[in-house]
Amino acid sequence: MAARRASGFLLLLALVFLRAVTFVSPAPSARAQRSVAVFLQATATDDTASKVADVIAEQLGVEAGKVTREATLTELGADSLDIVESVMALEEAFDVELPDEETTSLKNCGDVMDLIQSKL
Amino acid sequence: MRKTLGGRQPSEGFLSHGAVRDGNALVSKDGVAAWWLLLEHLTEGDLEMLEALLVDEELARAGRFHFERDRQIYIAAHGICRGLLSYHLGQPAKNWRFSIEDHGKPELISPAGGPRIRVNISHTRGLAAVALTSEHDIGVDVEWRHRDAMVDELAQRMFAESERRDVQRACKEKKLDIFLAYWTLKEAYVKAIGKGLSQPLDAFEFDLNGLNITFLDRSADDPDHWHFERYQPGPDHLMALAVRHPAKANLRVEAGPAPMEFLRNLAQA
Repeated sequence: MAARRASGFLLLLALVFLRAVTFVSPAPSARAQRSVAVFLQATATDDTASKVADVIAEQLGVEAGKVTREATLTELGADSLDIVESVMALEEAFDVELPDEETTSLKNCGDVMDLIQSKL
Repeated sequence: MRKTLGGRQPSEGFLSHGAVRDGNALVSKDGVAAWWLLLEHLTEGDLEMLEALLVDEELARAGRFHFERDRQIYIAAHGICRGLLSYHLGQPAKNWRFSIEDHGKPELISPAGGPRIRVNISHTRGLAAVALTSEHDIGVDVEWRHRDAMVDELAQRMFAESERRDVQRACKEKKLDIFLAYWTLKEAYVKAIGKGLSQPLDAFEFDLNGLNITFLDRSADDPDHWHFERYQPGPDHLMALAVRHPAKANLRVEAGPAPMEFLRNLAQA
């Protein structure tokens, strides 16, 4: 009984952190909580990550080195139209489809990299 | 001062009565107030003044922007949002708290015992805007007219058929503006209903002449309950406003540049 309550509470905490990380890069402990919540998702290889960074960097006019896993597209200067164009550019670069329902839950560039990796 | 594109002419509204005094709230479920702020109109000290209106969380987020111009417009957007709320509800700018709804839409935590205040922010290169009303869903979207965008492809991917045709057959000089006219209206609606990117953009279409919306599935929503306005806050920007209202004829919309004197006084309070 106590264990069920504890896990329910942990899940609630994870959800709270997931909401919070929409807007700021998570602190290490929050990152750990997030990776627990999304542990079933693929993690991008360095190669994929690097290629994604190049595409996003070109779209947003930033250096590729700034496109880290923790950075959000918004922080890098993207508005809603830039995000759509970035998704289109990534689809073309990787020859994958990124339907809207899958891109809505992406929080940062790391999520983008992992989503693409999962389609390769 | 206010540059409308289509829609109706502004009527006498509650903005013209000046900021709220004596604890009386100046909001109406039949009234919409909207402010915009052009970055180029900020003078010495204005940015710091707007920063002084923000809470720590917003200042932290502002600091994370890669480009200074994005940091500034974020500050402007959140500054005029708090300013607009204080203008109508009379509390200090830092009092306002927001909660994040299911699809990421921020909603004001309205003061207890009063009406449910709805507010929405938008910002783009060089311009921030905010819109406020009571009770009803409201959304605002701004865009920058000189951006590089693959508009034919974007319209193909996202727009309803009639909109896509309108964009694709437009001449080169007008194409981006027509695309952005549709885009800002669609974004304003999507932001008003608060479903974020999960709302397919091709499920509804706009007629730019009457600023009317049609839902391809007629049971999805009621076009008669939606009112739209378009503005050109400056030569380089376009803006659209969407508000859900059960009796549109009663609706009064007032939109204009954010009053800097009021904001400066608020920051010093």
